Amino acid sequence: MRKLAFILIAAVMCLCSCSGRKVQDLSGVNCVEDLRGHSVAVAMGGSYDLMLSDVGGVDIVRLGLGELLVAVEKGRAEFCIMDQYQAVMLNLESRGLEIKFKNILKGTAGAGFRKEDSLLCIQFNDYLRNIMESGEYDRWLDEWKQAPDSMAYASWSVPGHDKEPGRRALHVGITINYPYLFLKDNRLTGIEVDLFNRFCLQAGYAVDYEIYDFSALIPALNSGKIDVILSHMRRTEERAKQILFSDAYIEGGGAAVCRSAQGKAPGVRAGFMDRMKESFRNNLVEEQRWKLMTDGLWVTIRISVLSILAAVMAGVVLCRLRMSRRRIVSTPTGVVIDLLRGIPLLVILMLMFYVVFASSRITGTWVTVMSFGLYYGAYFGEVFRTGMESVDKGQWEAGFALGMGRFLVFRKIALPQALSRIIPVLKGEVIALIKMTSVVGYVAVVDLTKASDIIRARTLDAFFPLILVSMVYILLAWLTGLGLEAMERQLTSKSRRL
Amino acid sequence: MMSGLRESIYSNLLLEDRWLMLTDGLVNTIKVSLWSILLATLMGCVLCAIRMNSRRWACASVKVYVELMRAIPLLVLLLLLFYVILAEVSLSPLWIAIVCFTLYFSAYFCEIFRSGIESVNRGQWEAGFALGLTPWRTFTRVILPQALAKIIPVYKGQMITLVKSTSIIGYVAVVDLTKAGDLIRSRTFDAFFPLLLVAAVYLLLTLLLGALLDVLEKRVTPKSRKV
Repeated sequence: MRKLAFILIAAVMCLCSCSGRKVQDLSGVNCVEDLRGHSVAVAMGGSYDLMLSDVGGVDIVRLGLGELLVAVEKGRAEFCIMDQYQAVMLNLESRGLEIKFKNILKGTAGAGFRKEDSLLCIQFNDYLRNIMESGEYDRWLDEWKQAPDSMAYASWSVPGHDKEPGRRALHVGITINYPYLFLKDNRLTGIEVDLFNRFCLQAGYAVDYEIYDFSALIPALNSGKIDVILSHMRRTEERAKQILFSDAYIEGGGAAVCRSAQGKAPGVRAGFMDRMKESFRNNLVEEQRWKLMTDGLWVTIRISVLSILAAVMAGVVLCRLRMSRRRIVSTPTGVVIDLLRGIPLLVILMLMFYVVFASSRITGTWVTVMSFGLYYGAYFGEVFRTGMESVDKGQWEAGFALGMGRFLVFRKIALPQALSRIIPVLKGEVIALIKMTSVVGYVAVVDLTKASDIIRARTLDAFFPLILVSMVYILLAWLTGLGLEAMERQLTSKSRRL
Repeated sequence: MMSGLRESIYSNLLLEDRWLMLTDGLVNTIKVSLWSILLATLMGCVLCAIRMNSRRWACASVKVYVELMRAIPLLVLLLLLFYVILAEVSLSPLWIAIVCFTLYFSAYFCEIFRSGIESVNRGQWEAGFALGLTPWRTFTRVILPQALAKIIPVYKGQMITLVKSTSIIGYVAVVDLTKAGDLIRSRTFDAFFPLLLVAAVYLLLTLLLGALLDVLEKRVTPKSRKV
C-alpha cells in the first residue's frame, strides 16, 4: 500500500511540474509562413487546414468550427484562423483577443451540388446572375453587413419554403457559422440561409436544413444524404473534382486571431454570482437559446427511449438465437455479437449513416436508433443470456416434472428468477446508452450535447453550457436509475411471492 | 469491384503517404488506451480500498465520486477537462484525454473490484484470521485469488469498452485512429473505405486485447481452484 501511495504522489508531482503556461512573444508573426513553430487551431477539413499542411512545420490543432476561438482564449492554441468578416463581427477585444493579420487565402465561396445534379446548379447560377445584374444583390449584402441582427429578423419574412406535396424538398447541409448561417430565437438565419431561401422561393423548392460537421459535408453530399452544401465553402480545385460548385456569391479570406498583448480588457471585476447571472442570460435567455437546449433535450430523450426499446427487442432476438441448440444458428450469432461489441459505436454509427443507409432518405434520428439498437442489442443479449443461464437447470426440470410446457416454465419459473439478476446489470447498460447518445451530433442530429456546442460556438463561453449539459445528463441518469430501481423492487418482490 | 478497391486503396492509403496518418493515429489510440488502462486500474484499486474503508466520510466521498462519474457522458467530461478544469494547465491534449479516461474508468473499475471482493464469503476472512494470517496476507492469499476469478471477466469487458471509447478523443484535437480516418475522408471525400478500414482495425485491437486477457484469466483461475 505504501508503494502505491508513493507512486501516486510521484505521478501528481510529475503532472504539477509540467503545468504552468509559457508566455510567448507573438509580435513577430505577420504572415502565414511565420506561423511555423506555433500552434494554430483550424476547422478540420477546411481550406486553412489544407493550406497549413502544405506550409509545414505548423502545429495544427484540428477542432470543430465553433471551438476555434474558445481554444485560443483558453490557451489551447496560440492562433486560430477563421473567416475575417466573422472575426470583425465578433466582439474580440472584450475577450482579450485580437486579429493579428488578415487576407489569408483570399477566394470566393459557393454552394456545392452533386455532379449529376447540374440542373439544380444551373438554376441557382441563373438566379445569382439575375440578382447580381440588377444590383439587388449588392444592396442586400450591404444591408446584411451593416446590421446582421435586423436582417436576421427580416429574413424570416421570406415565405414559401415550407414542405408541401408536389414540391421537391432540397436537403441542405450546413455548419453553424456566424453570420453566414446561425440560429436566432431558435430559428435558422444568416446571409447564406437568406440567399438560399430567396432562391427556393423563386424556383419553387421546399428546404430542409441539416447541421453537419464541416468535414462531413462532401461525403454526405456524395452519398446522397444531402442535395446542397451551403456552408461558406471555398471553391478550391481539389473540392471541384468531387462536387459541382455554383458561381461565387461571397468573397472570403481568413484572419489569424491570437490573444492580445494587453490581455483581457480590465473592466469591472464582477463577483461570481454576477458572472453566473451574466452567463445565464447570455447562454440561455438571449435570442431564446434555451429553446435550442430544450429541443436538444427532447431529442436526447426520444432517441434514448426508442433506442432502449429497439435494443431490448434486438437483445431478446439475439439471446434467443444465441441460446439455440442448433450450432448452425448459435455460432454465427456469437460472431455477430462479437463483431458488434468489437467496433466503437461511433464507427458503427457512421458506417450505418454513410454506407448502409447512404442512399435512403432516412433521417439521422432513425439511423441513430437503429445503430444504438443493434449495438446495445448485442450487449443486452449477452446480459439476458447470462441471466437466463444463471437459473439452475433443476428449476426447468422441476417445472417439466409438474407437467408444465416449455413456455409456461419459462414465463412462470425461469424468467422471474432471471429478471432479478438481469435488471441490476441492465440498469448500468441503460444509463450507459443514454450517456452514449452524446455522440449523435456526428450524423446531423441536434441533441443536447450538439445544442450546447452550437450555443458555445455563438457565445464563446466554454464554461457554462458544458456544466449545464453535464448537470442535465446527471439528472437524466439519476431519474432513469430511480425508475429502474422501482421496477427492480416490483419484479423481485413478485418473484419472491412465487 | 477489384479495380474500384485498388483505386480506393491507392487514393486513401498510398497517395501522399496517407497510411502514415492511420499508423500515427493507431499509435495515439494505443498510447491513450494503455496509459488509461494502467492509471485507471491503479486509481480504481485506491478508490476501492478507500470505498471499503470503515471511515464513513471517506467511503461516502468515493461513493459520490463514483455516482458522478457514472452519470456524466464521457464526451462531456472530456470537453469539461479540456476547456474548463484543466484549461489553464499546459498539458498536451493527449494527456488530458488520458486523465479523463483515468478519472472516468477508475470509477467503473472501483465498483468492479469492490463487487468482486465482496462476492467472496465473509467466512473466508474469518478462516484466514483463525489460521493466524494477518489481514493483508488473508487478503492477498485467500480473498484476492477467489475475487480475481470473478473480477477478470467483467474487467475484460470494461477494458474493451475503454479502448473503443477512445474514438472520441478527436474532439480535443488528438489525431487518433477515428480522427485519422476522418482526416483521410476529408481529403479523399470517400465515405466508404476509410470507415471500414478503421472499423476493422478496432475489431483487431479489441480481439487482440480480448485474447490477451483470456490468457491472463486462464492463468488466474486455475490457481484459485487449487486453493
